[in-house]
Amino acid sequence: MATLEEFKNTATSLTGINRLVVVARDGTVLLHSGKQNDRLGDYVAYIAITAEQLKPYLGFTGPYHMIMEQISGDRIVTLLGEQIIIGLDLDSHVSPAIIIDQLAPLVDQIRI
Amino acid sequence: MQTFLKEIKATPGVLGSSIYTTKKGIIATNLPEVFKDDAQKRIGSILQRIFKLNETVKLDVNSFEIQYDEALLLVKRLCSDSALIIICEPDAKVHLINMTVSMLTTEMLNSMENCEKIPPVQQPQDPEEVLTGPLAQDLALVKRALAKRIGPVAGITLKKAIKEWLKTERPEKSNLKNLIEILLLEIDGNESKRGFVEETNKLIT
Repeated sequence: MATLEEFKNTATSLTGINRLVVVARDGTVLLHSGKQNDRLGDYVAYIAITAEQLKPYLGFTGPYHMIMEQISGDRIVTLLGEQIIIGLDLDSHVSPAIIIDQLAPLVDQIRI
Repeated sequence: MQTFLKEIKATPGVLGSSIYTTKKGIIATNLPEVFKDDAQKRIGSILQRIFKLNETVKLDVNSFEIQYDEALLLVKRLCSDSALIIICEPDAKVHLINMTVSMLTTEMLNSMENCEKIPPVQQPQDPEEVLTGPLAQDLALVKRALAKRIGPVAGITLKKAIKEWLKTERPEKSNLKNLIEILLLEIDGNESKRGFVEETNKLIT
């Protein structure tokens, strides 16, 4: 089991993460770090719900993560846990796969 | 349109794809038959909402992927109201698929009727909005550096400079250099100017 603070410490030790936000399933922002932007929390909560709304039509299980790519090349990675949703604003030069590999195993361990 | 989808399906890992438009629903598809027409339309409609969110959150997301257990969903915005939806094997090579899609996108757009260009995201025009936006932390550092040189009017001066900056630049980190140059005009003395440049230099390099 990991705490939010431990997760934050691990995430902020990785390079290329401009912003981090952790939201509860009801959209409440539990933690953020880096440049503040209130909308990032709302945004990741909304897209996570959207991805889950698709499940009955797709017949798939999950979802586990989402990668949103902007025209500038910057990416927003969303990790979906049982109790929380993580939003990460990444620099364009950072590989989302590496960040996901390092942080995804921690997401389901976090309890709020 | 079906020819393009056929080419995409030939890429290793791709199970099928479809093109959804807000006005006409699914206009082409070669997704596996397990995805019924109504379900495909509903999937397209839900996915299109994510692009519509761009304006609200001031992002310019033009493609995204969603990882499920059984598959990876790739979605690329084509026009303002249409999207290409690709369903792949969960471990498909995304770069390879993106390369195929990139090569076909222009041709796909040319063969689509009434394909309205994606409108650029409206950039903030109010200095307050910029000061509290994604650059908030950087601008706080600029303000502190400025206050050391010109004192308590730093806040007002910064707002005025941002207003000037927004006339020619988008409020992005890569354009901060120009904001620094505008602010230099407000600082007296070469030593103070040099100190300000040195202190803010880490933001722009």
